[in-house]
Amino acid sequence: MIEVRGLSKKYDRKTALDIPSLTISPGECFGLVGNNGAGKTTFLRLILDLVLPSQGSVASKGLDVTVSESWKRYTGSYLDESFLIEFLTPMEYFRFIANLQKVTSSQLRQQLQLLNGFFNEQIIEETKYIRQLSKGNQKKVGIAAALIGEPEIIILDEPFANLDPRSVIQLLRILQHIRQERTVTLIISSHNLNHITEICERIALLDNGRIIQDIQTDEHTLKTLERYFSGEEEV
Amino acid sequence: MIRQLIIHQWREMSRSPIWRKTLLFNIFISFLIFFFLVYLLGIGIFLYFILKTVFPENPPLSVFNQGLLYYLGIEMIWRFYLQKVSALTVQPYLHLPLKKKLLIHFLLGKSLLSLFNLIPVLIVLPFAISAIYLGASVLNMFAWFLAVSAMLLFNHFLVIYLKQIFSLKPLEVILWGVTLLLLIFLDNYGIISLSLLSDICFTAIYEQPIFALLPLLLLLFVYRLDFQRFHNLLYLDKIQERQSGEAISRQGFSFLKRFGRVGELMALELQLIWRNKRPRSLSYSVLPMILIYPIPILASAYPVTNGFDAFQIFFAGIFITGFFVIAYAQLLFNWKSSFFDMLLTGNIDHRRFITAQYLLMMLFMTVPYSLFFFVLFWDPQIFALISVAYLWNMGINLYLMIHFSMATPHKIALNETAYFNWQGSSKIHFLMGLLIVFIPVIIYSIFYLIDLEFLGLLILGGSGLLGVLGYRFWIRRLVKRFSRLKYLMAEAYREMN
Repeated sequence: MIEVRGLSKKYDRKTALDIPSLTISPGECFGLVGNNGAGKTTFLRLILDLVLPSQGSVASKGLDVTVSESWKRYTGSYLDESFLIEFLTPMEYFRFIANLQKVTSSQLRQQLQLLNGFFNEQIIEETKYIRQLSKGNQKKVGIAAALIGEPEIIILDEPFANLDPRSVIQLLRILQHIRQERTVTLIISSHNLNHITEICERIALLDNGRIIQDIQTDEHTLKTLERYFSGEEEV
Repeated sequence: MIRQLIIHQWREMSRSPIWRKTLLFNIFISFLIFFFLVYLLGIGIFLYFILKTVFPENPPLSVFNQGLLYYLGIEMIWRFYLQKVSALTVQPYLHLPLKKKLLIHFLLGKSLLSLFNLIPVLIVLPFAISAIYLGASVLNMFAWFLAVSAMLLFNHFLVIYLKQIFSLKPLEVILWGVTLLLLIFLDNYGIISLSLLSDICFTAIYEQPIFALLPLLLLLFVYRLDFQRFHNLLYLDKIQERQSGEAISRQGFSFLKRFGRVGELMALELQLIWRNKRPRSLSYSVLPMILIYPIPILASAYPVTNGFDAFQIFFAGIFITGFFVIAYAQLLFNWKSSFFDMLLTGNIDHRRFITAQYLLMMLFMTVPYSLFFFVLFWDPQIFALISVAYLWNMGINLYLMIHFSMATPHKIALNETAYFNWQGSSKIHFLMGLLIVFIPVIIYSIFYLIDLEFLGLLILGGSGLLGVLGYRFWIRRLVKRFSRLKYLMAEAYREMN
């Protein structure tokens, strides 16, 4: 699905990311963990063609994302507030995204139904503009928008941060539900090791722009990662 | 106490980081506004004589009176958008031991700080003085001045009240405008005469000064009404409610959504302008300029006898049809800085994105152009010259503007106060605006020097037309440039100030 070849990104000679080779297959849940500044967001931005690589390329379904725009059709993403249109109401924003994705309004309603628990009876009927919502609700709107149109690839940056515990559990359930329903590739970054190991069967550990571990999760994964982050073990 | 509140307001403005950063720009703009006011005062002083020369068969006062109701009707639309009384201003004082009455008077008084409300002083008063100078009775003229000023302020407070009750949809504004145009049209053919009614009312006040009490009472009444309204409104939850109420009422652009994803983007852009302080007030402040500035140019160049007259009109045409777009398109991409990443990753290819921008800007040029359509009935030659300018704007300038607007990415906070806010503008933008205006001047001057002025205009119009017909070519070039520059733009927009 996603193929990375010789990818590197430098800012003023400082290497922010350096991934010689990486393949994410269809249906996989790919979790990215790492400390602040490890290059997680940069990597996601490179996949989304928001940042131009210094070297190498990212290919989505075999097509270089900097050349072809066809990945936009089947990729849903939410990285930060710059994905939100602040002066729309949540529903107007969803409709906007749906129209771009050629999703009819009845399909949209159906797809949002799935998120009812996540929204906690708020948001859908909300008449405030997105800029007037709380940070947590803004995030929910962004994540929901990334799911509209049943995209084949979903890319989320820190989806669990800033959400209340209830919403985190709901979100985990929704993501798992989507994965059971259809083949979807998830690429998620997170600081929260518990959550990420819960849904992702593959976890990459980023450190200073390099992938220092790329593991299939099993019962030991969480322990391994915890040891790394507590500084007990050089991985 | 009021003094304290005023001081706080001043500090709020002068201490905002934006104001400080762009102090020089502000001084420059203050000059522009100052000249504009002087210009209005000039109109006010000479209006009596102008009306006398243009309509020699009617007394100037009567002509002035005829237009008053129409003016009030048109002004209402402008006021509806420009005027904003935000109860948020006094929010920090609500819990303090201050009389609520005082706060409301302060709010309503502050709302009077608007260029509109200088019109009584700049236009009506000089007009009255020149009438007295030419022999009108002082007392009667004074009563008339009071009455007219009261009506203008009545409009001011009426709009504040109406705005509290409902918000206008774009369609309703258009309807209101069309109704006014229709009335003017019917008036012209003497079918229904609003101007006669207007004349009768205000002339009656001049003749019987006691009638001036009526507008004053109206003014008092509507002020009371506003006062009551705000008295009920000054609670935190109600202040919030009103903000959210606006969201529902504004879906007037849905017709564009029929045109697929390009239409969807155009509708989004209109919502952007409509719902955010900065772009919104940009459009309101530009519109009256488009309508007022060209009038003396058109008047002085009429009738067109030589190439220079023709060129002046061409220049006015550039201004009429292009000014809004020149002002808006400088920041075309910067307006979208807060959701730029969404535009890059959403299911919109760059071609559609640029096409939407291009078509919308074309629409923004066509609207003012069509407002001047009546010139065709007045003087077809002048209309032809405005059309040449329109073509040049649509075909050449538009491309240049979009091209340059990609070069200077700066983050913009859409909903921050618009006046004296130049965040995201740079000197390059000013230069660019000048350049765009002066390219045709240079071309024309060359032809003027070799005595082929009309050929020069023909070439300008011809190349404009070619540019319009070849818009696909322009769009392809812009898309290429955009694909190259988008990374730099996205990076600039992501920066925290």
